Amino acid sequence: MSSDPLRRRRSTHAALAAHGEAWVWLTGGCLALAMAMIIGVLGYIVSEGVATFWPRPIELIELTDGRKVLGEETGRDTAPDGTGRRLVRTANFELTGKHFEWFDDGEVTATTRPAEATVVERLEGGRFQGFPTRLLHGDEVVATGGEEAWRGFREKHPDVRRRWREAWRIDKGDRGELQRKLRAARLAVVQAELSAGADSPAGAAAAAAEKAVAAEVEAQERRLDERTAELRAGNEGWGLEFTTAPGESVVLPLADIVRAWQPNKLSFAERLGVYASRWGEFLGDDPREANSAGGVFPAIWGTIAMTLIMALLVAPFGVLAALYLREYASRGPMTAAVRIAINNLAGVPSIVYGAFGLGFFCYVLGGSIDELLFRPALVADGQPTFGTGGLLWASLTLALLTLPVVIVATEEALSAVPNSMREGSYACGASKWQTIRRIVLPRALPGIMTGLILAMARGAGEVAPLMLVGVKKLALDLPIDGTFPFVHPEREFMHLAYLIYDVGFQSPNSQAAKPMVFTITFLLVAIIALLNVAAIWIRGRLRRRYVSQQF
Amino acid sequence: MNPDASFTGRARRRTTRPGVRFGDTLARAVITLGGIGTIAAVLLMGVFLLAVALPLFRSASIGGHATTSLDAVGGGGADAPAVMALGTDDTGEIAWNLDLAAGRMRLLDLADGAVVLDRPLGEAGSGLDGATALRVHPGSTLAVVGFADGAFRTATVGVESTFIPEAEIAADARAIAVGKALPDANGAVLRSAVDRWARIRVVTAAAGEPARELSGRIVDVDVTPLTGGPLVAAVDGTGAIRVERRSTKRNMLTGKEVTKRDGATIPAEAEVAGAAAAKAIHLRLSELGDQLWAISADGRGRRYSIREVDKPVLMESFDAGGGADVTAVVRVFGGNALAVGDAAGVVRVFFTSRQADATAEDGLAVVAAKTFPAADAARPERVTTLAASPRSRLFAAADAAGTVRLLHSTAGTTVLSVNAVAADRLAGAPRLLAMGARETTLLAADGRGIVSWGFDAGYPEISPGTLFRPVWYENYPGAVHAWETTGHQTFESKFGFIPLVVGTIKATLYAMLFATPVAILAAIFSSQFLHPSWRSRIKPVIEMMASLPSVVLGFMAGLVIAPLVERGLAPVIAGFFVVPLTLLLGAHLWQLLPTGARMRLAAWRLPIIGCLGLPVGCLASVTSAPLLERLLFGGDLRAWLDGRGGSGLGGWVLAFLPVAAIAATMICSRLVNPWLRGVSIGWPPRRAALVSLAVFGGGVVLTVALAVAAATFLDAIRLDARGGLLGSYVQRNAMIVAFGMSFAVIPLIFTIADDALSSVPDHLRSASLGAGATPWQTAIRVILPAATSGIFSAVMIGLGRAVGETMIVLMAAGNTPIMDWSLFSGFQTLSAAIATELPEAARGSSHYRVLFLAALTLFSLTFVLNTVAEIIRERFRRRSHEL
Repeated sequence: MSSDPLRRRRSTHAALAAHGEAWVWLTGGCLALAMAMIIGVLGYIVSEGVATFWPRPIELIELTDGRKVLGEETGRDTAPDGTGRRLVRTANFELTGKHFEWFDDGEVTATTRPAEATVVERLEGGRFQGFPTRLLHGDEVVATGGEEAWRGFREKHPDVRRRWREAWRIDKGDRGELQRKLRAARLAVVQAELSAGADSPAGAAAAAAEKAVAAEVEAQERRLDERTAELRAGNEGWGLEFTTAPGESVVLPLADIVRAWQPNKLSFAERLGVYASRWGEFLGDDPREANSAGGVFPAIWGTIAMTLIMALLVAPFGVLAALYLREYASRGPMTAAVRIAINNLAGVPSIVYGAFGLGFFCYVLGGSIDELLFRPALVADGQPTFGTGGLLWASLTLALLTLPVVIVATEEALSAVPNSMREGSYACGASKWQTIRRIVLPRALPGIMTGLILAMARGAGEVAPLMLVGVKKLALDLPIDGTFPFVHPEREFMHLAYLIYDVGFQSPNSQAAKPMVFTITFLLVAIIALLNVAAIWIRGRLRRRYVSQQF
Repeated sequence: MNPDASFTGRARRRTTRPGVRFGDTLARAVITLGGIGTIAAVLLMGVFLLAVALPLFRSASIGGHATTSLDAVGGGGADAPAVMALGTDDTGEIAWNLDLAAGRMRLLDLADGAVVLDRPLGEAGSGLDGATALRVHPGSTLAVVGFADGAFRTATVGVESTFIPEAEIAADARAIAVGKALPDANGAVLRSAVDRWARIRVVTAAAGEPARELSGRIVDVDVTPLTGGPLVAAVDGTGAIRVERRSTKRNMLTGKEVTKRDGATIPAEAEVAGAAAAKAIHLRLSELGDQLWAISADGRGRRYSIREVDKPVLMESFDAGGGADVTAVVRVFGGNALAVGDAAGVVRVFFTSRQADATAEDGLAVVAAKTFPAADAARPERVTTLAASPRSRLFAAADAAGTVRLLHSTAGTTVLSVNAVAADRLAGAPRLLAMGARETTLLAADGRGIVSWGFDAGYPEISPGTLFRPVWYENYPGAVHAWETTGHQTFESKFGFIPLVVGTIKATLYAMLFATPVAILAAIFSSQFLHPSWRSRIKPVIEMMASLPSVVLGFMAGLVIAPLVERGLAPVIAGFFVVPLTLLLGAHLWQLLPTGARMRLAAWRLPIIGCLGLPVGCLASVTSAPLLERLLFGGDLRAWLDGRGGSGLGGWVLAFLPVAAIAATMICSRLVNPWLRGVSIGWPPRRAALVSLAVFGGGVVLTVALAVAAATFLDAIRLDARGGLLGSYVQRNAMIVAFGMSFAVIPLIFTIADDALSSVPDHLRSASLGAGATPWQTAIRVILPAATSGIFSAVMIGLGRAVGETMIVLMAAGNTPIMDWSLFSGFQTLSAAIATELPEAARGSSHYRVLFLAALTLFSLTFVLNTVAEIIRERFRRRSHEL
């Protein structure tokens, strides 16, 4: 015991309670929970997204009832009674009527990994899994036996695939081009009739021109027909015969096979090859099977095009508005009110912008543009050109949505420029605009860029308004492509974020589509994270610059 | 000294170069214009939303009228029986009038009431002469006529209009003015627009063989088109009813068409055949042809099921008149409801609905769902006639005083009212009404004249009443709040806003209940107890969560978290209680450490909590879940939620645990701690920590005891938690949405709250610590009160985000506009309704405008929330500046 009278009165319990350790732990728990949530979600997306295309081994499962199933185990869980069960991707939808099946551990008698088990990705019908037995060409048997047939397949398949690809390119690209030409000629006729009457010389000329175009198109189509027929004939008859695990025999045309591999036999390098090839298809090709397989190139392209156009639209207007508010507008309650209003608009739900975009841009603005400039299309087939959702309207809507973000960021960047610099500039005799252009804007540029990039990140991930103003589940005609006039602001487009919603929630085979959704999500999150990191990096640079330039 | 002399000796230009001046002016102009323009454009959004939504509440308007006197063209006279039909062509500019008493078919130009065509019927052998009853199916030319000898037959009556290609327009037709018509061979040519002409052909022809099963004079007939052929019904003066279905089949070999008639005759009931027989009976078929309604003039109604047309079954008798005689009956558009007018001027809307006390064998009962009182309550006049719109649930009613009203059967409102009897209108009370095909013209006729009005009904199905109050929709057992907008053309759209508003509030409420405490507590820890170098790393990570697109969060919530939680519901629910408990236990164990070790490890508290506390808590909830399930929910939580087995006790215990915990904490701090404070003077710290652990254990036991006691009490008075906050579990529900939404809301609230907490001036903190307060006391008593307004504004901004969040709700809430507050049921929000329904809503339709009203609601709500937050934050900033 101390002799100090103050110390004697000290209560140990009160001292302990004053530290509020229990409460601190609760607050710490909340922070840890928030961290765990973000790390958990990101980790899950990354692990699932990265693993999707990795070729995993497939197993031959023998069941107690004598059934044999070939499949890839995709999940496990425990039933309430404690027995384990596994979800197996059994594929072969046309034979079994299902893509996935659950098996109780008790049902399974043996699992093996046969070396010749083959996974086939097909153009349609989902995956196929079986054992190759023969390579066929018409009635002729080219190779028999698993090894031989597989080797033969590896040899022939690239040729078949190349021919298929060329035919596909003709069908999609060249024919589409011809149809567009024909439609343009037809619209020219309608235009002439509308403006000058059906019997006028202009109308007659347009009609004659249309006839010429039609004849030319027909000739070219015939040529394309010949070419595709030739290509298809080359692929005709090539087929790979498989035996499925239950023993059924199935012949798959080689042209329908996108890719096939024998996962149990692959070396690490080969595995990597399959992985890279699937990523390549994912990033560079069109989607297949209601977007649940294949690539997402149109969506990537659509996302990029939309985001860039949005940035082009939002940057000048955002900077103008911020310059006005910060440098020109007189300081008063009015400006303060406007500033609060703009701040608030950043918090208005995105779907409200979507409704506005549909009602104002598409219907009012687009409808008027159609009436004025695209009457022929409206009259000829009743199709609106700008009067419906499209790239331009989507970009404009998102530009409006992100405008407050850019204005606020720009204003902050402008106000971060020290007044001493402005005053110095004025003292040297520079005019206001000269000061802004030479002194203020260059200093504020990194801040403006940060705001813009954050706006782009928000725009790239926003989907609710886009559902109303022009995003489609399938739009293979790219909004920016090689045909004149290169940018097609009226076209509907695909978007990565919308694809997540569409594939994840509206797909007929949602279980098989799930890995695809994870990959798309991974891609989208990666893009957005990249943009965010860029913004943070620029912000860091901006700060350093100010630290060194402060005077 | 010479003032112009320069210091350097060189003469300097003292004027600004014109180029610079010009550039400056131009820049000012461009920036001012562009800036103001941009800001105005953004702010105009609200104005536009308002402009689209506002017409919903515009009241109906009626235009000028045009009168045609039939006396001048040989009308039937006021006394002749009104066997007439009225209608318009598709454009609503030309009316047709079939007057069987006078034997004439007329076309009238509605612009000025001029008679375009007036033609006797007889010549074509139309087979309609001498008809005593006539009914034309609204919206088509299908008709049925009955005769004095008891025969009745189908017919086509009305006009058919076709557009004329420009090449075929005759020279005289080109000369007519827009909106005018010219008679031609069998009808008229109408110039409906500058470059559009339509040919209007009059059709009046009987079709098929007459049915002769009835013997008395036919008093009423009805017809409805079914896929095989029309279904017709007729009643004669003796009260006998004949209903039959005609189906035409073409013989594949001979090509001959054979018409088959299936039907039955319902003999007159004894009492009908007697005294009341002189009074006419109103007969109506339902649009789908499954029901037949017969209403005698004294108000006794009978409903027959005619699903099998040759075997009509009497379902029930009902009172249609409410004491007064029934004078007019019409089938409302959609074909499920009847509007009945009586001699007291009252119009009632009847339909069948499932009722508990129904006597009919199909379990349905006829109910008078809507009652429209007489136009003039002081002097009620007999309803003379009713007419339904061919495209909406609007119908017109006329009374003997000549007042014509437009009524809406869904909304139960009087849309507009106009007087038909006046010097320049009709002489007598209207006997017949009709509404134009486009619902823009209203026609009324007595025996001697026809008057027409142009009108604009606006959006009669939308009113504050239908949006926000329960409405009795057709075939519903009672008035409900409902949102149901997609359906076929005759579907009765239900624009009840309340389910969506409830869904929005529910999503916001549950999300905020979860996210707000987590975010604010996390902000307190990160701003007060975290080392700055840790903090600078952790904050961006949480901010990154804010930039995750909501579609990703929705997908995670809907497709990953939802199935996971569905399988492990009990552990998740247990986790809400067990994890905090574990953390508190951890803190008390931590206190047992020697003071020195505690000080040295203080910086590592977060990793210890995160890597040890949380996992242990999760593990504990997983292991304790089966026990909890057995103790409280009879072993199966899902079955308990479905209402199978178990008493309401379990739910109440869980609901009362938080309250009980607060009570227990209060008891500890008020009673136990003061006592301990006195006792513990001079105790070694370890002993104090042990005692504190014991007190904590006691508090937990007390909490559980209190909760169980409260729950037992509520259970004893037979209250069940199920049906309120808890209910049947669906995979996508409010709890999943709350999880998903918290990913979006937590970082938002966290960032702003953290900024607010850490921007409290440092001298306050230093002073408090210097005066001997612990960091916890400083945080709670000094920093938190100073930052309250900042934290409040953070919550408001989080609220704004949660209210309008679309994708998460769309993907994780199941999108069913159900109205309840259960944590485990699905719902739909305003934003999700906009996202899914707006692309399909026709521009300018009431559905479209109602969705814009939803958008406007969200806009104003978030705008107000954010403004309040901004103002509070501004005040906070000023105050913390002053501190």
